[in-house]
Amino acid sequence: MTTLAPRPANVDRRLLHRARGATLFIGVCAALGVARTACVVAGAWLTASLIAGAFAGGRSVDSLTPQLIALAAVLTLRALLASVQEAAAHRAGAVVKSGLRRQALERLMRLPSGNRHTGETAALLVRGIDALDDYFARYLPQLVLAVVVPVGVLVVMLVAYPPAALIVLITLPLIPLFGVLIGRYTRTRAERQWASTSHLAHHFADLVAGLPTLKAFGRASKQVGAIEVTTGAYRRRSMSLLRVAFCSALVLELAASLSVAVLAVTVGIDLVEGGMTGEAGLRTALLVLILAPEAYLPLRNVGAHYHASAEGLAAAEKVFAILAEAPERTGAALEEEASGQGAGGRSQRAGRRSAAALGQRTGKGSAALTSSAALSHPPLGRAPTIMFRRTVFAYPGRQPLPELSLTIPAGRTTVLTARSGAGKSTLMASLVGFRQPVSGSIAFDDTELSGLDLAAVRRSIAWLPQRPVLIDGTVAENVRLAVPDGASDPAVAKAIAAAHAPAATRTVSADGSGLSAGEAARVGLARFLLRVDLLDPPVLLLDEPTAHLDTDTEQAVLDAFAPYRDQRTVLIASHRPAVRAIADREVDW
Amino acid sequence: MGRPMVKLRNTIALRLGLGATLGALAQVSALALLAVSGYLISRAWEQPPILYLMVAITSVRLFGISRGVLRYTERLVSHDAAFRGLERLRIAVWRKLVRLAPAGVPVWRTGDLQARLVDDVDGVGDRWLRGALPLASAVIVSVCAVALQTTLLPAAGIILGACLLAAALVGPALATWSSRYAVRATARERGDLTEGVRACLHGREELVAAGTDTAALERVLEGDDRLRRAHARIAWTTGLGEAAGLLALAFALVGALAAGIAAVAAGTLDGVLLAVVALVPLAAFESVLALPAAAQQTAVAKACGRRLLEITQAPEPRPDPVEPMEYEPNPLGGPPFIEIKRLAVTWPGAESPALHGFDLTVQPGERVAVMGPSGSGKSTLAAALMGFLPYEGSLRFGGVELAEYDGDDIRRTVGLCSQDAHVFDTTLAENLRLARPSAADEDLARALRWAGLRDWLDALPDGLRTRLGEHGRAVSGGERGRIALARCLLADREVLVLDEPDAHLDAATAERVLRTAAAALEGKTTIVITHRPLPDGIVDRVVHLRAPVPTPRRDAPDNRLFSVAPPG
Repeated sequence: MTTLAPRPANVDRRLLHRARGATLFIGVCAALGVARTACVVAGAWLTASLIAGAFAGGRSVDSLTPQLIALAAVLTLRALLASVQEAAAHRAGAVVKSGLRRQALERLMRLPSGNRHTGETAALLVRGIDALDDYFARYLPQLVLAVVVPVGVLVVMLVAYPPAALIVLITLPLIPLFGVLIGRYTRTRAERQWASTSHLAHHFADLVAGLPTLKAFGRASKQVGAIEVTTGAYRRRSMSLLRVAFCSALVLELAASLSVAVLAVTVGIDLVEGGMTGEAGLRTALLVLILAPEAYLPLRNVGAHYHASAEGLAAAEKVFAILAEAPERTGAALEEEASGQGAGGRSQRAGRRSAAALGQRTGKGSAALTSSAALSHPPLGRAPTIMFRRTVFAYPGRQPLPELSLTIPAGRTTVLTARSGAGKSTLMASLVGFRQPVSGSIAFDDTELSGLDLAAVRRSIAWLPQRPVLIDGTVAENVRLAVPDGASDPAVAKAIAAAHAPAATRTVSADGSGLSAGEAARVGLARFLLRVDLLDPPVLLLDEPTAHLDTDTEQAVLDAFAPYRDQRTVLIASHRPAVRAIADREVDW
Repeated sequence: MGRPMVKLRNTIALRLGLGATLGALAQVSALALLAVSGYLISRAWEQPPILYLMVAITSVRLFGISRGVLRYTERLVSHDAAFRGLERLRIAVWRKLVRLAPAGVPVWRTGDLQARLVDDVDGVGDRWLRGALPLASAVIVSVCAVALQTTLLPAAGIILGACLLAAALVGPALATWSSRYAVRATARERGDLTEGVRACLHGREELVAAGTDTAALERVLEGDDRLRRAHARIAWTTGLGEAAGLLALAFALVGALAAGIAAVAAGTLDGVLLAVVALVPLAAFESVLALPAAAQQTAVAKACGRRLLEITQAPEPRPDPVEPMEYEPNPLGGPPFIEIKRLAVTWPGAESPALHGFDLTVQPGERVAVMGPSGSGKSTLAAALMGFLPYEGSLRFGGVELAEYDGDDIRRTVGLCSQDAHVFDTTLAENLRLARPSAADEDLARALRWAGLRDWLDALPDGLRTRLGEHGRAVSGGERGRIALARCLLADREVLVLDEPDAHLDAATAERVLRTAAAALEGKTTIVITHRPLPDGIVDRVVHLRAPVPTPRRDAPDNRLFSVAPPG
């Protein structure tokens, strides 16, 4: 029945390939489908013979009672089978969805952030993947039924009354044929529809997020017009898509009901002309009449669910696109990317090549690419000197930042006071391997960063970004994100106290609500201090650590931080006088 | 839900009604097709002259065609109506949000709010399409089928009626009853999961650098697990609902046959009609079997509707006065005289005021700095001046209490440059024109220059047409703040409140920006809110603000406009 699917078969196949237990699931569906077909045929035959028996055979109620009981039993069994199938399908679908979501998320954590819309991606992973429900729980089982039931019905008709089988055989293929034609025509438009849905969602989200700003400028009410235009365009696009998409449903319904009509007339004329007589003749006539709609029913359902499942499948394709992207390297050898070769799909190859080169150098095989245990070089020594030599950073579509040569002395505290937008955050991100310079080099002591094992470098660094991440949970749970292996309660409590962070048991939401900006900053700071306490990293990077704090809190936090600065290479980006006061050295460029 | 807010215009109601009628007619066609076919075959078996069958044959062909065509038109008509209704609903919700923002929205998260707007509104639309319409056509078809059956054989009519009723009640009830809890659970889990995924992706680099990405991921995926379990709960109940319908169909068919066979034997039913009596239940049940799904859609939509109601029924934090004063705080033009006495401002849901016993008088054109530590209510003061919050005590513009004025009138005079002003996902020019739609490109460039962004603008390859990314992501914090400042300068309000204008700026840039801004604001009243001292010569005087006693445990309740009532 793959001819039914205008979408590339490999989407379905990949999706089913992902599904752990998908084969079993389809097997169960097929078995249930065969059983249901048997029930349908048996029910039709019993019904036909009961009517024929009473009308044509003139039999009494008593002699027909066993058949009535059998009919009741068959129909009851059919009801049970339908229930079991639905539940099984939903469960199987849920497992596949979860698996897909996990895979995508795991991959995304390894992919360079680039200019990915985090909001849109989150919507894709939750709403988009959830839309696959229709595919697994409804479309797929019906697809199986659409194969099994018509075959069963046709076989019965062929035996009972071949002309009926002929009518069904001629009309039945029309449905998938038109389904394919119309589906092919609407496919690209359906994808665009999904794109416009997510565009619409983003547009709303943007407006809602900016509502206070809009209101301050008295523009909020005026946005009504913009929303009207957007949603109106969305409606017109949707309707023009549906006008075509519903055509395939029209073909379906017409084929199904017209063939029943043709069949009824054909059988009726045959009966009048004496082609079928007696109780058996009427029974056969009624049997094919009752069975005919059943042959089309699963196909009609497939058609109905096909369009409902399109949204989920479009989302699945996007997820597969994410899964196909090359991950960011966690190993070594960044110079190839630095020379501008590492874009897109080539970076993986480049990564493999450099990892292989590294493997030869260290004689440890190719494990260096991902494994955090693979130490091609020892981690950074005690308080290294960090050197930027003629380093240039660039973002796509923007002018590159000015060339930079900078030495951050070992064991001292350096404060970067360069103007806003001069690339202080980029500098820090480059030290943990998230930005690669387009030219020039970065070195720890005398070793190039690109020659070091990135995992080891990251372990030797504590980094406090400008906006620390928050997850749903308590403050303590958020602070624990400092180190991979977990931390003891007293250690967490100590860090929280030192950073003047909110109480450990306060709850935090992923978007930071429940905490003020200052509190959120101090949670990040507590996490940072915990990491320093537990891992004893020789390099500390702090990006605007006190931007949201008032002068008193700032001083208290800096005092608490003072002992940690000892014997470590500390780099702080800040303009605050209190921070500059603790600097051994100030750098501006 | 939604009756008070979804004021469907008659056209939409009419369209939906037309859709329901067409749908019912399609179903009746299907019923008639099967019934007449049954009659045709039974009658043909008696081998009458073929002329006697011509009416039946023609009807069968007609019903064969009409069903598909009617169904197609029904779909188009009803979908169009639903889309139109959704447009209205979306706008109604937006209008309400406009009145609530920024203080009146409780601790809903923005991610959740957006999910509400899009999902919940769509969910309500589904209720019309997949809830109300199938129900309407099922009722019409059932009535037709029972009427037909009763005419043929009263006993069979009663059985069919009872079975249809049972299927229509038990199936959907089963489906609705047990899925309700799970449906509610999935909505929340979905919101949490979306937010968690977003946060995880946003903070990816920090997590990966710390080696805790896996831990954070597992934490987020716990939410996925909860979502999966909630889905599994719905699974069983959909199956049960369908089974209940099929069981009722079994009863109806067996009952019709039993009654029909007995009637034929007793001679009260013409044997020709026995096939019709048996086939009518089969056709009649088709629409009733669709009801459990319709009921589940309705249940989902109800939960969506309830959450929309939470928004639409939330009290306005500062309702505009019923009869606002004519706004003319300074008849001579220029900034008004501002007089604040014993001002106390409490955020909705908060127990104690964030600002208490505050006095301040500002002459027209004066530049005042309000300085105080975090938590002293500086941003609260700004929100009160903007007419976002109700207050106690006295806050007068030109001698008239601010509470007497319409909020939008106030904001035509007072501008706010907030530390978290939103940068919209559109071009730089569009972002600025928000403040003054009629502004020419030169005006925009001048405002950016005043805000200290001349070099930045010159470096942009696309200039004013540069698109600022998601939530202004392509711009740094300092640039974002200065874009907001440029926007405020462009708006040219008589009174401008600058909330922490130097956050995210280095001292030199901050001083330069403040000085040019001060020059640009010559003659306007400026209130600068800050927690650290400003460079000399920016303001005329400094007012100190102390945290209200007892010190609340929050330090800045107002810099997150959506978390209005901070826990404390």
